[in-house]
This record gives sequence, C-alpha cells and structure tokens, in this order.
Amino acid sequence: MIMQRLDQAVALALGLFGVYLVWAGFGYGFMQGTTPGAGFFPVLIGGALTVLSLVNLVRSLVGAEVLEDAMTTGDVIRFAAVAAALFLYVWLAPLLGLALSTMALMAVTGLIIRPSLEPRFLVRLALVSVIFSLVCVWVFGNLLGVPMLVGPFGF
Amino acid sequence: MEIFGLLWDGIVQAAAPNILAGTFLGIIIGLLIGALPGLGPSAGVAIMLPVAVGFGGTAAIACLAGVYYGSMFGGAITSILLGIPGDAPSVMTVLDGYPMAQKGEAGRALGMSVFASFIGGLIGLIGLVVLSVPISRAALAFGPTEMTALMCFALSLVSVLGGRNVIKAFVALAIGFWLGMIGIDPIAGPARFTFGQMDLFEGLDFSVVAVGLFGLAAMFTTLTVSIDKRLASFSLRSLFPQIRDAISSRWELFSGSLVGFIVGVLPGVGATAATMLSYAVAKRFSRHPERFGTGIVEGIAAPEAANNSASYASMIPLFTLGIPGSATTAVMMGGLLMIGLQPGPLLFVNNPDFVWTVFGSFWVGNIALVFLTLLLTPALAAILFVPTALLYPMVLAVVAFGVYAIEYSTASIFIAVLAGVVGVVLTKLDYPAVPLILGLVLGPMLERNIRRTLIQSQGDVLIFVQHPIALTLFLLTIAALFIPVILKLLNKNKIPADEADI
Amino acid sequence: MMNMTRSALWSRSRAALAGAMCAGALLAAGPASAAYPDRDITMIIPFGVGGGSDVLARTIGNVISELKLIPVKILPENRPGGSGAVGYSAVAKQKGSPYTIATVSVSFFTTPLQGGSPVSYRDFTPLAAIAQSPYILVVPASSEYKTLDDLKKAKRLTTGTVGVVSDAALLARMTSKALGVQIDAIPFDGEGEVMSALLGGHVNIAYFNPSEVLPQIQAGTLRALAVSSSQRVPALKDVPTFTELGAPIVHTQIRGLVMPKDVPAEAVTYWEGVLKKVAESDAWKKQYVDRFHDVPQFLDSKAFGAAIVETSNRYETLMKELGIIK
Repeated sequence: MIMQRLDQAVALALGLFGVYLVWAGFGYGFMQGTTPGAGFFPVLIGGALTVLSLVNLVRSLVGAEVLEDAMTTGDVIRFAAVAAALFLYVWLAPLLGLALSTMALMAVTGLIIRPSLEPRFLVRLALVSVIFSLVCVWVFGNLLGVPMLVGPFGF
Repeated sequence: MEIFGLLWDGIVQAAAPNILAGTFLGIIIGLLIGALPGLGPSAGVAIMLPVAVGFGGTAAIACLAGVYYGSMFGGAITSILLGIPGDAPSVMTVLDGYPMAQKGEAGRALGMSVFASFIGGLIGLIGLVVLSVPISRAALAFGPTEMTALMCFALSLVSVLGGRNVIKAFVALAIGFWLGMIGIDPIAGPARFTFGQMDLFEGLDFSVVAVGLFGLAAMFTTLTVSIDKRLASFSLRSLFPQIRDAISSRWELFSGSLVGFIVGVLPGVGATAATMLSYAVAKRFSRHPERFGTGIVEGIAAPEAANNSASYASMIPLFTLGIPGSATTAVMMGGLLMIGLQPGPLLFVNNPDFVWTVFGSFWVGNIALVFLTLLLTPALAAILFVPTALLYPMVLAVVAFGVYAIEYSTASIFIAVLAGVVGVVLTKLDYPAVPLILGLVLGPMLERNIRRTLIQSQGDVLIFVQHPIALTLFLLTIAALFIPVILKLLNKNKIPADEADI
Repeated sequence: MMNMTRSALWSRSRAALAGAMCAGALLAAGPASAAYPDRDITMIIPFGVGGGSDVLARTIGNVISELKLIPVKILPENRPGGSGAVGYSAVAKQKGSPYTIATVSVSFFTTPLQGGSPVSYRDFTPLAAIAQSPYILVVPASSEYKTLDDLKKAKRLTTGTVGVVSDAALLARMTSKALGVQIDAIPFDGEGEVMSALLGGHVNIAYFNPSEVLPQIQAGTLRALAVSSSQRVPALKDVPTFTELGAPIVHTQIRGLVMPKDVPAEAVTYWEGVLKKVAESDAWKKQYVDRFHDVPQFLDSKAFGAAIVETSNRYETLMKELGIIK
C-alpha cells in the first residue's frame, strides 16, 4: 500500500514538474524566428511528461497498476543510512581531504551493512578502510595525476 | 593486395621495442581507466597525453590509441562484476553482464566481453585498413538533416528496450531528455535548468549519471542481500570463459561490430550511442528478445563488440581527413600536433610509415589485450568472493574517486549519489532506467540536429524528405515502428481464425 | 541542492582562504621588496588537459622555465568545469595575490556574459599579450565562391560555429554586414564537427584558426578567402586580409595572461618584462608560433587591458543582437 501511495505521489510530482518545464520553456523562448528556440523542446517534453504522468496517476488510483512492496523496513533504513553517509562524505571531503573522509566513509558504510562489533570484523574493516583509501589516493593522485583535496593535516 | 603488404610492414615496425613499450603502457593504463567507474577513454587519453608525448613520434600515438581501445576492454569489468559502468560505452554491458555475475557466471560473462571486444576490434581494424578512405568520405554526407533522421531511427529501434510498463518507459525517456537539456543551450545560448550552479553550466556528465543510476542504485538495493553469505554461489568453472559462447552469439558479434563501425565513423555520435543501437538491433532481431536483460551472453556480445569497433572507426576521420569526431580523438589530435605531425588529408601521403605503423600497433595491442584480460579474468571474477561488508565500502571509495576525477569536483559525487537515490525510487516504482539513459545520450543529439537543420532550411520542415539519405532513414524508422505492430495484429487475427477452423 | 551549493562553496572558499592568507603574509612582508617572486607561481588552466588553452598555457610555462626568466617554478594546474567558470573564479578569488596566473580564452569573455560565472574580466589584472591567433575564412575547394567578393552574389550563406557566442559567430556577423549578404550561423559541438559539415557541403563557409585549417588548405580540400588579422599570416602569404579586400573586419583571438585584481603594480611591471622576453624569444617562436601559425605580437598591460575591454564589448553587442541578453 505504501508503494501504491509513493507511486501516486511520484506521478503527481512528475506531472507538476512537467508543468514547470513547459513554463520554463516558454521563458527560454519557444521559437527563435522561423526555427525552434531554446524552449521548444522543454515545452514538448514537459507537456509529454505531464500527460503521461497523469495517465500513470489515474491508472494507479483506479488500481490498474499494482506494485508489490519491494523493500523491507530494514532495507529502507540501510539504504537511507548509506545514502546519508555519502551525502555527508560529499560535504566532508573538501574539509578533511579525500584520504581521511574516504576512510571514514568506508568504515561507516561497512558498519551499516554489517552492524557487528565482532573484533575480527572490526579489525579487518579498519585495515581495509585505511589501506584501500591510501591506495586510491596513490592511484588517482600519483599515478593518474588527479589533484587531490587535502585536509588540515596535509594529506 | 597492396594494403595488406603495407599493414604487414606496419605490424613489423610496431614490434620495435619502443613502440611495443608505448602500446603496452597504453593498453594497461587504458584497462585500468576503463575499469575505474567514471573515468572513461577521453579522460584517460588526456591524462596520458603529457606522458605519451615524451615517448616521441609513433610510440606516443600508439600509446594514446592503446589507452582508447584498452579502456573499451576494461569498461566491461566493473559493469559485469558490480553493475557499475566503468565508462560511458559500457553502460549497456551492465544490462546482461551484471545479472550473469549475480547468477554466478561472472567469469563466463567477462570471457564473453573479451571475445566480443576482440572480434569487434578485429572487424573495426579490417574496416579501418580496407575502407578508411571511402568510408570517411561517405561519412561527410551526414549533415544535421541526416543526423536527425538517424537519431529518429535509433530511437525507433531502442523502443524495444522499454520494459514492462510502456507509459512509465516514456516518462523515463522524457526525464532523460530533460537531464540532457541541463546546461548552456548550444544552439540559442541561454543556460537552461542550471539553477545558478556553475557545475551544471556545461551540462551533466553522462558517466556520472550512469554510475549513479545503475551502479549506486544496484548497490543501494542489495545492501542486505548478503551480510555473511556471498553475492552468489560460484563454481570454479564459472570463473573461466567459455569458447562456445562466442560461437553461439556469432550473429550478435557480427551485427554489433558492424553497427559500431558505421556509427563510430560518423562525426559527433560516439561509441556510447553505438552500443545502445547495437544492443537494440540484437534484441529486435533475436528469436528470444524477452531473455535480453536477464543475463545472457548475447546481451554482452553486441555492445562490447560495438564499442571496440567504434573506437577504431572513430579514428578513421582523424587519420584520413584530420577531423576529430569525438572528444577522445580531439585529444589524440592534440597529441599528433605535439609530436610535430599535421593531422589532415595529407597525413597518409606525407607520413605513410607513421600511419601504417600506428595501425600495426593496433593489431598488436588488440591481440595483447585478449591474452592480458583472459589471464586476469579468473582473478577479477574472484573479487565477488569478498564479503559485502568489505567489498561495498571499497567499491564506494573507488566510485567516489573515479567520479571526482572527471572534473576534480565533489559536485560530481553529489550528482552521482543523487542519481543513485533517484534510481532506487524509480526502479522500485517500475520506471525503467534504460530509457532515461537513452534520452540523456540521444536526446541532445536529436534536439541539436533538428534545430541545426531548421536553421539551415530557415524553418522549412520539407528539408527532411528532400535529402535522400534522410528520407530513407525516416522510411526505415516508420517500418521499424509499425511492422511489429502490424505483425502482432496479423497474428492476433490468425489465432482465432485457426481456432475457428478446428 | 543545498548540500551541493555548500560543498561547492566550501571547496572554493577554502582555497580562497588559503590564498588570502598567503596574500596577507606577502603584503605584510611588503610587496615592494625586490624578492618577488619568492615562491612558485600557480598557473590555473580552466580547462581539461589536451585542449587548445591547455597547450598554450603549458607552452608559455615551458618557455619561461627554459629561458630561466624567473627564479621560481610555474606549476600548471587544470581546473576544468563550468565552461571555464570554475577555474577563472578560483583565480579571481586570490585577489591581490601575484602568485596565480591564467591565460585568457574565448570563454574568459563569453561565460560571464552568458551568466555562467560569478567573475568577469573586471576581476582580473591584465599582464600582457604575447600572440594573436587570426581566423581564416575558408570555403570547400569545390565551392563556386573563388574570392570574398563572390560571396556577395549569394542570396544567403550558412556557416558553422562552435557555440552561439564565439569568434566565428562574431566574424560571421561582421562579414554579413560588410558584404551585405545574409549569413546564418549554425552552432556545432566542436571544430571537428564544423569541419565535417563544411567538407560535406552542409554549410557554405567557415572560420578557423590557422593550425586547424592549414593542412586542409595544403591538401587542396579547402580554399582560403581572407584572414581576419590586420596583416597577412606568414604561413599563408597568398591570402589577403579582409581590410585589403575592402571589408573593415579585424578580429583576432588574443593570447595573453592575467592575474587576479589588485595585484601590486611591481608584479605587473615584472611580468610585462618577462612576457616581452618570451614573445621575442626563439623558443616561443619554435614551440608555439611556428607550430600553431599564430602571429607573434606583444601588448603591454595597458594595451592588453584595452583589447580585453574591446573584445568583451564585441561579444556583448553580438549577444544583444542575437537576443541572448538584453
């Protein structure tokens, strides 16, 4: 049932988004003299998006499309946690440098996937996080010459 | 045949130690860059440019070209093992490669990709050697009008890639089109949908979106699949490639190579679009189209043959006409200039030794790659034995670095993660990801070429039927769209009739 | 979106902070001290490796270090993204610091005008220009147009450009006005595509830098009608200039260097001296001018500054005429 509601919400949002595209398209200029302007395709695509999404919304409301609930609560929590960790990483990387923040990202995602305090696992995860992050910095920074973001400690 | 004599001389020349060293360095770096998610051939060639120029002359270009076709072999690796496209031209390899790996057939899938890359490369190379001059002239006949028709034809073919719910497939296609519009509009000038962000001004990088939408989304949904148990059960046998797969998918190998070659020669289309077309062609003409996408070797054969074939084909305009048709060959052209050669129509005339030696190095490199990747295959496939709680953090780190390295920007990582989250929501709601990616690649080409054509014709739409090549392609488009529908209707009518007879 | 804004701002403001601190330290030490430059200079290249601007910047760096013109090193750093906006903003934010330089390019002017960059030419100090790249008007060898005057006979012509706002688009406008013939510019996605369209007969005329077009002219596939510099190009002695042919068109791409705003006057004078030596050196001629067939020409800071303003105004006028900005 939750999936059904989500489906309807997404269809509605996409429909409204299509309206925005049409509006923005007219702002960019529908025609430019005799030729299609910058807004020509946004208007067409936005219109199509709105119409198709309304069809989806109606189909879902009358029960023509039935979606099975695909994810358990545990799945959703893990997914949200990993996504949040990645967003946090994007924010932290310029502050801490890529090496440190990647180590943290790896350790945290490892623990989200397997929330265990078993010493052997923790040691392996810590080792992998530290060594692998440094390998990445070496491969990208030294071997491929990509300028790395560095943190307050100079790496 | 005089050509083959010249080619043989070229291969002998290419076996000189310094050129061989350049070629091998190129293909190894290419494999690595292809396999790293995000970084693709154009970034790879650019990264190697300063190093390669140091080798001087032929070795430099052999090295740069090695990076290019080497990355076509490497891109399949992460696509198959982890569902993360290693570079843009290997996105389509994910569709069947990743399900095969999940079924425990990673080695077989990797083996298929190696065979397909080799065959595609071979056909591309034969075309490069035999047809380069006539085909490069023929490619010039494709102006904006013909390109528009070609894009319409491509979209009509790829409509088979939609999935179960057709309406949702079109919604995904529309979203892809919209994503392709982000950035400065190259025809009229205004920045569209950039929301004031500098990072969006040049538009979205295709591989960033693809990595998120396919790779990260696949990881996000399998976080709990295996805490301690492995992703799939393996037998030792599954780690090794199987020759008979190559024989059973000979048709896909051939059609993929052919499509890749033709599309690769055309300026501004590129290997990614070639893989999409070849996959669609293979599916459309298959006796069992419904099995595509479930993990069959034919689904790997077509795109992998196409991207290798296209990589050689795209070098044809560069060497014969001095025109770089893609971002990657543009950087290679910079390399030619830096070693003091003038790329242009006279390159073949003035420096035949150089050209034939470089072509010779392609043959050496292509064969070397087969052995290299076949040797690596069992080791690579064994990556999946690593427990998820250790493997996924490592993969996330590589994805983050790879995506960051495209533009040295954390904004790219943000976009990839966002695409991943959106990808999970959309796939759970039965919106297919493939049409979105198609829209992102083909949409801008379609839009720009339609608008170019209409500037050319001052708004007269009849131009589309006045050009013979365009007209032919449009007729093919109509055929591709309606013949299946008509056949279906005929079949429907036939079945009740048959029953009535009984 | 919030998240990205903040992260993007952070990465840049951090760099700017570091720069500002260094600049502060320098000012405290006294900019007039004879020691300038006392540490390595960062040359920011706002584009990816391998493009035209990248080759130019690296060649300048090489020549300066080969001729040992400065006591420190020049460290090239590619900062691609946002059509130059990312790299140029990074330079401009080092306000007052004479330790960051960049080369100008077409997007140095056009990206700010198109609203894609928070910084414009006003946020930079021009140092000097060391070369000019002219444009050559070409037609396919099979074309019915043999001279510039022949173009007047056409009812309407089409040309290919890279981007709506570009030198080629500007030149097409100028040619159109000078000859009184309608020229429609079709924007393509790269020089290679424009070349294909020209050779394939999909557009009638095109404008290219000499290095792009010389091999085609030598091979006899294209015919040069005119060059856009005030004097003829050494590599194409037979090709007249637009002004010789009576069309008042002079427009070249100026290759020069800029620093952030408010750098000490001593630093500007210092770099004028260095770049003058570069422009007159054999190494520069051999490594750049002869290879890319540009015209060597030195402009000091003031003249270069004036040329920058003029170029920007030209683009602005073009964009107003095209209706891209109001």
